[in-house]
Amino acid sequence: MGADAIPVGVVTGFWAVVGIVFPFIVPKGPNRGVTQVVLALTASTCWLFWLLCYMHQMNPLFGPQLHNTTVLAIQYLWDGSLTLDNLTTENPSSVSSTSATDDSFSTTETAF
Amino acid sequence: MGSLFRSEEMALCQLFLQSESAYTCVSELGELGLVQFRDLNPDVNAFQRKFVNEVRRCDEMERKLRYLEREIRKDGIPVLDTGENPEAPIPKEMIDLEVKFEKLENELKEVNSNAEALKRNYLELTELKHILKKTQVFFDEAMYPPNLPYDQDVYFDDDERVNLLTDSSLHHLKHIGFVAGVILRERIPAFERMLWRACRGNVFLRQAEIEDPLEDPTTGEQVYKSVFIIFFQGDHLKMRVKKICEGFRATMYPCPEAPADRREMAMGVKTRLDDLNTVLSQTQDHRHRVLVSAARNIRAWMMKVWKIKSIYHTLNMFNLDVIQNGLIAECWIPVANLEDVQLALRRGTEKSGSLPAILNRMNTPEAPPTFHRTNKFTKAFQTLIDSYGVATYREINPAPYTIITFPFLFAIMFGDLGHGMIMALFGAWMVWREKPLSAKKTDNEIWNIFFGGRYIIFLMGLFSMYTGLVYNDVFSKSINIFGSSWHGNAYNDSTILENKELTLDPGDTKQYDQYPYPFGLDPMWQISNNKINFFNSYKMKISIIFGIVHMLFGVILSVWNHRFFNRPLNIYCEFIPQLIFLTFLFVYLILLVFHKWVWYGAGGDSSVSPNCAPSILITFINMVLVKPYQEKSEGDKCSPYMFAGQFGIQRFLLIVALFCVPWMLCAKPFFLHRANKRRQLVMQANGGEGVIEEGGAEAAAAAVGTEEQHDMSEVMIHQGIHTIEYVLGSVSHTASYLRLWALSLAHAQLSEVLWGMVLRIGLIAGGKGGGIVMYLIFAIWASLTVAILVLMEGLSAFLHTLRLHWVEFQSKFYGGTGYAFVPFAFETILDQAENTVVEQ
Repeated sequence: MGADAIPVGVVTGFWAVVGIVFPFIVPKGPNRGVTQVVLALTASTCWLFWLLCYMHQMNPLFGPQLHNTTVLAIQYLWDGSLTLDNLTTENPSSVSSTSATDDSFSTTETAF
Repeated sequence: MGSLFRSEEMALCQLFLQSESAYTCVSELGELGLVQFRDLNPDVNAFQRKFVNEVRRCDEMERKLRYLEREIRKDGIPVLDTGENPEAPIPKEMIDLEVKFEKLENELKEVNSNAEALKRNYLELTELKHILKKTQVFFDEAMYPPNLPYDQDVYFDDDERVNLLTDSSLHHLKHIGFVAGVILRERIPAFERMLWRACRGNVFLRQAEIEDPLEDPTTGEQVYKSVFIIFFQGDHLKMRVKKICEGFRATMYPCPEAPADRREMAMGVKTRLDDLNTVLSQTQDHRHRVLVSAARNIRAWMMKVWKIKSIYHTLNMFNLDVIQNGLIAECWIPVANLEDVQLALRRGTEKSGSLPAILNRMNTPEAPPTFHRTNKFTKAFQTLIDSYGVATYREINPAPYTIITFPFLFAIMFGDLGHGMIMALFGAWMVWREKPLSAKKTDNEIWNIFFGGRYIIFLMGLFSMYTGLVYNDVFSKSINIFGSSWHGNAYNDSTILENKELTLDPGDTKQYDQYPYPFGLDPMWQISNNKINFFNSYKMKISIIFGIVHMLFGVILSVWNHRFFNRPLNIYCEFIPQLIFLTFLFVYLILLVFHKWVWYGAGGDSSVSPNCAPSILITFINMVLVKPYQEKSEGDKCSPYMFAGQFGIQRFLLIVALFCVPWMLCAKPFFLHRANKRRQLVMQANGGEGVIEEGGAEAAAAAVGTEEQHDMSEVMIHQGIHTIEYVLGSVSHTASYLRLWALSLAHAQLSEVLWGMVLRIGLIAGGKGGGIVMYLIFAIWASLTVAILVLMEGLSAFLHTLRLHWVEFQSKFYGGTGYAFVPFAFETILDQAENTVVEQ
């Protein structure tokens, strides 16, 4: 299984408290039944929604297809495995060949 | 179960009211607002009812009050709304009110007519004043023709002493008469032409405009007029000129020839004008005082009149009991409120000091109205349900579940943290400022709709924020909180430089962490090229899963209805086969989805590798089309089946599900038929023992027989329709839930387009003008976001999720053939009456 215990436990635990524990401590009144239903439905639908997203990504059948410029950006910004001196000192010839990929650069979208 | 889950129990009651206390009792019941009266005189004409005179008097009072209100509004006096709720006055007080209104109306009418006469007088004097002033001009021009050089000294010296008609220039013209007057400026050209034609050019017209506009006494608006003077010779022309002036409604004034006379007249006019001014202002003050004192009470009076009128309308619905000199009423009352109604009646009878009213509960086979006790929060959701059909008396009410499922299904289609936040903030503002916003009564339909649904909008916004977090979509960008599970480390520089596109491999632990992103979709997908593939498979699966869960929930709700109405036959012949059909086919589909998610993946055994994963859709189709068992070919590591014994299990599920169809179709009619037969036998047996005339038993049996056959054919048809609807519906409704995927995809794409083609231009713009460009681009982006993505997409998703509730969910259990409970309540009547006033 590609599941990790901590996220599953935390999210399931949170929605379990909302959906199973809270209905018992709803104060008495004319709206008690409706409030209990509201809490239970919210917890179950939200938890199920999260679960489906999690399970879909557990064992992916294919991976994301990225532009090579995006890969560079990710290596620099997220993975921290690329430093700027790497580019300039190692491959001076690469500077000219990156111009070939310039047209793709303009359509790269950045995530932050 | 609480009262919102099922409609309230209602009782049909008969009310005996003494004549003296009828009015006060109805007034108390109106304040209570929990009783719905039935019209016991439906065929009686409105003009023949008992209390028609009182209603007419109320209409008169209302008319007078409306006249007063119009006058108050004309003067711009603010009407005080203290928010008090005056009680309906007793009939004696009604006469006092009538007298008061009559007096006020007469006073106001008198003041108005006086003011009009005064204003007319004032106008005449003003026009005369202008005439006297303007004829100076004519005189000056007659003295000094334009083409002669002006001598300034002479100009100022001689005007006092010179006549209007000087001998020096016009001495050869004798017996010249003139007419001076005032006419509307617009009429001057036509007036001139008419004069020219009629008098064959033998009259001389001079005119000068009056600069200030004058007030027309009748309409009160400002008009522009001009002074004219016509010179002619002879009586014949004089008559003609006078007639033409009258035709053009020009007012003529006597203007003296000599300047000294003119001056005297001007001074006289001035003093008279001053006097008139004082009188006019005093009249206006008096009118203002009258209106201000009326404005203080007018709201309370209006409410009292409305209440009286509604009480008499209700009294008109009662029957007159001649014997005991009272009134009989029939009404629907919620059983839980019978005590409150008794108390209200007691208060009413105590007020009028007569015998107590009697409340009798009646049994009736008639269907009572449906009453759901809602508060301001649940009211909106109940309205959504009632728009499709009011619940049948005492059946399960879908509204409490709709409180959450509606915003949630909306959120699946709308999922964006940014747009959800905009919607949630808008809803929160409306909820926070409920009281002041609802006090403002507008007839703006769109605002009223938005404000009425403020809780729905607020919840939709909140849930959209949650689904936006899970979809990881904020204005088409993802946020990376926990760190992506995908990495680009595995590629070295040369690979990157040589390949324009690189696909990450989930089997490689350096590229994929083997544990998914903890909460929501991985932010890596937002920047990838093939994200549509991934999102499509994800969103389609969740749409189907939520759809089937929603429908299953609906089918299960029907059990409560069957148990409450004591119909065990429905449970065994409808509910069980429906449940089995849905579960064995579609819940199995869900299980297949889960199995594939868990079992198949990269980096494991080759038989469960990604290229071996069978398509669930194809598997399901093969199952339903009864395809034969597929043997695994030699050397092929992939199996078309996901788990051992799948073929056998699928066959079994299909056969049982198919068997449910004739079960749904035939079981219930069969049992009903048998029950009928048994009843028939019992009746025949009783008929033989009892004392019945000869042909009676056969006739009765024959009647029962035809009736039963008639019933059976109806039952069969009804059951056939029900079965076909359910079976076909289970497939079509399941597919219908795919709209959750479609709208969610459209929303994401629109959002992306707006960012990529609008906002990005501003973000990229550099240099000195870049800031200004960004400022403008942001304005465009923001207005498009609100207009298209929040409003249009929001409305679209709202409609689609409404349809999903009404058709796909409610068709599984809802009847919706009831009629709403409309109690006699002053609150609703006053609201309606005020809204019609606002519309005017």
